[in-house]
Amino acid sequence: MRKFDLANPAISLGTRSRRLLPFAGLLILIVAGLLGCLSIYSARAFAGNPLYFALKQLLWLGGGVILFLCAGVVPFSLYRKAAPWLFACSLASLVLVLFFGVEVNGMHGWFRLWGTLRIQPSEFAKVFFLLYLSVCAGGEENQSELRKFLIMGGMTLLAMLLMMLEPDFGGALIFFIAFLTVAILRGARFSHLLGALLFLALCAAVFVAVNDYALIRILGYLDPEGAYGVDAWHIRQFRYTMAHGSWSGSAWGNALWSSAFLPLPHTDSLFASIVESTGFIGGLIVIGGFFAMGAGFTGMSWKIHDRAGRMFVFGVGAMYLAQALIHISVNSVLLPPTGVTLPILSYGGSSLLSVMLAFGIAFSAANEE
Amino acid sequence: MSPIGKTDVGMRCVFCGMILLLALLLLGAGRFREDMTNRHARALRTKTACREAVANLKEGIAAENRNAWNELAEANPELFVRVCSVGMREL
Amino acid sequence: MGGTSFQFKTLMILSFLLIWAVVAAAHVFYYAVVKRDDLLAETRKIAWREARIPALRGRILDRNGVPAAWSELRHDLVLERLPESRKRRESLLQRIAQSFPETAGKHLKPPHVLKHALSPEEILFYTREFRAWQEVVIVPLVRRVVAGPPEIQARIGRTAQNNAGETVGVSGLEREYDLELSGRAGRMTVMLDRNGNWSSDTLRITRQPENGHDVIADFVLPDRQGNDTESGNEEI
Repeated sequence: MRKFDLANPAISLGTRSRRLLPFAGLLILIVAGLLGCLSIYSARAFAGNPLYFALKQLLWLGGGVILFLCAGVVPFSLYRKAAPWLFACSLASLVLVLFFGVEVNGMHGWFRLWGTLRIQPSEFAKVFFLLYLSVCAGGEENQSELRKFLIMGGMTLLAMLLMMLEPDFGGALIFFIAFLTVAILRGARFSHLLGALLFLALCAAVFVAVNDYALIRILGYLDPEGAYGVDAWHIRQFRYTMAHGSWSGSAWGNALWSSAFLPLPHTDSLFASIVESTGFIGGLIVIGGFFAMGAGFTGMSWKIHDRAGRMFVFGVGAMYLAQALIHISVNSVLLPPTGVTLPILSYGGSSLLSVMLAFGIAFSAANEE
Repeated sequence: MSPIGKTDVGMRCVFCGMILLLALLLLGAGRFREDMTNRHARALRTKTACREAVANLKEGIAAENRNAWNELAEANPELFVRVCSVGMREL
Repeated sequence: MGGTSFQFKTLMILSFLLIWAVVAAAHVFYYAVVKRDDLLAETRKIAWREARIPALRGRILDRNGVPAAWSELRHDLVLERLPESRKRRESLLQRIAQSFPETAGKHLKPPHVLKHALSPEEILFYTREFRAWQEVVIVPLVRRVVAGPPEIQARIGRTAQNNAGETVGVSGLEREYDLELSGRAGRMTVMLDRNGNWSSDTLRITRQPENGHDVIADFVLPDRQGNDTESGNEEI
C-alpha cells in the first residue's frame, strides 16, 4: 500500500509533510537544474553557441520533471518486482552499446537515436543496478551472508567489466561505490569489504595496464611538470581555471579561461568552471549543496521501514554525492582526470534524466508504507 | 492544521534549502544579466575602437581598394585589426 | 538489521563522504585563493599577448602638394610553417592546392608567399578559408614609396627599421623631418585560446595608432612618368 498519489494526494497521504516532500524535492531539483543551465551557459560563454547547450539542457530538465513525477507515482513494490528485469535490460544495453554504440570523447558508450540525439545507457544502468542491489540485499534472510555478498559482487563485476570495456573507469567506479554502500548497509563483514577493495585495486591495475592513456594521465597527475607534463594539460587547466575564480569569481557568463582552455567545460569540467564564475564561495556552496542532498536522503531513509526501500533511498543519495565528489575531486586536482559528470548540473540528457528517475523512485520508496 | 515546521524538522530543512537555491538562482541571474549588459557595451566599445584604428590605415591602401576597405573594415573591424597587427609578444 | 544499526552505518558512510568533501573544498581553496597569484602569472604568459597596430608615416609633398614619398599598406597571404604531424601537413598542402592549383605537387618551403597584395575582399575570403590553419597567415606590409627622378629621390632619402621595429628616417628629408613624419604605433592586447586563435571578446585596443604628419618640401616634382620606386625598407 502506498501513501503518495499524485492524482489525489489529499486522501492518499498520511501526513502533511509526506505529502509535500516529493513536491519540495521536485522544486529543489528544478531550481538546481536551472542553476545547472546557468552554469553551462557561463562555462561556454566565450566558446561559441553557449545558448545552444543551456537551452538543450533546459529541454532535458522539462523531460526530467515529467520522468520524476511518473517514477514517483509508480508504487515501489512494482520496482521491487521489476528490479531483476530492469537490471538485466541495463546489462544488455551495456553489451549492445559496445557493438552498436557510437564513440564520443574516446568512449564507446552512446546509442545514436535520431539526428544528434544520443543516449548513454550506463547512466540509467547505475540506477537499476542500485535498485537491484537494494532489493537483493534487502530480500529474504535464508541465504548465507557470503553467498549473498558473492552474488552482489558478481553482478557488480559484470557491470564494471562492461563499463571498463567502453572504456569508462569513472563510470565503473560509481557502480563499485553503489555496491560498497549497499554491502555496508547489509552488514557485510570487514574481511569481505577489504576483499572487495582489493578487487577494485586489481581492476584499476588491469584497466591501467590495458589503457595507455590512463597510465599517462596518472603519471601526468603525479608529476605535472615532468616527462608526462604535456599529458597533464587538463590538470594544469583545472588549476588555472580555479585561480581565475579567487574568492567570489569573475561573475556568471564571464568564465573566460573555461571557454578558451578547459576541455569539456560544460560536462566533465563543469565544477572548475563554476569556481571560475562564482569563486571559492560558489564552489563551497555547490559542495555544501551536494552534501545537503546526501544528508537529506539519509534523513529520508531513516523514516522508511522497508529494508530494500531505505537501502535504495540512502544509496541514491550516497551514490550521487560520491559521483559529485569524484567530479569535484578531479576538477580540484585531488584525483587524476576521469570523465565523470556533476549530477544535475552538468550538461547531458541521459545524466539528468537518470538522476530524475532515481530521485523519483526514491520518493516512491519514501512514500510506501 | 499544524504548520509544517512544527511537525517535521526535515521538511523545514528542505524548504530552507529550496529558498537558498532560489536565492542563489536569482542572484546568479541578476549578476548574469548585469554581466551580459556590460559585455555588450564592452563589445561595442571595442568595435568602435577597432573601426577607428583601421580607418587610420586607409590612407595607406591602394586607391582602387580604398572603397572596399572602408566598407569591409566597417563591417568586420576586429578582423581587419587582426590582419594589420604586428609584433605579437607576451604581455 | 535494526533501525539503530542502519542509522549508525549511514552516519558512518556520510561522515566519510563529509571528510572527502572537506578535503576537496580545501583543494579548491588552495588553488583559487592561496596559489592564485602564481597561477594567474602563468596564465598571462600562456594566453595574453600584446601586438602593435602600425601607424602610417607622414607623406613628403612637393611645393604644389603633390606626394613625393608616402607609405603603402598591403597584405600578403603567407604559409609561415608546416604542421608537425604528417597527416595535418598533407591535409594543409591539399587545402592550399585547392585554392592555389599552381602549388600542387610542389615542395613548398616556408615561409612561402601564396598570394601577394590581397584586396580587402580577398583578406576576408582567405581569413575565413584558412581559419582552421594557423600556419597560413595574412601578413601586413608597409612600404615606403618614393616618386620622382633620382636626384629628388636622393634628396628625399631613405627609411629603415630600428631595433624596436619602428621606422626612422636614415638619410635626406626622411631623416631631417623624422620627428614630424614618424607616427606612433597603436597597441592592443588579446587572449589566445588553446589552439592559438584569438578569443572572441578579449581584444582591447589600449592605444590608438597615430599617423605621422605630412611635410612640404621645397622642390617641385616633374610630371609623373611612372618612375616611382619603393625605398625597399618595409616598416613591418
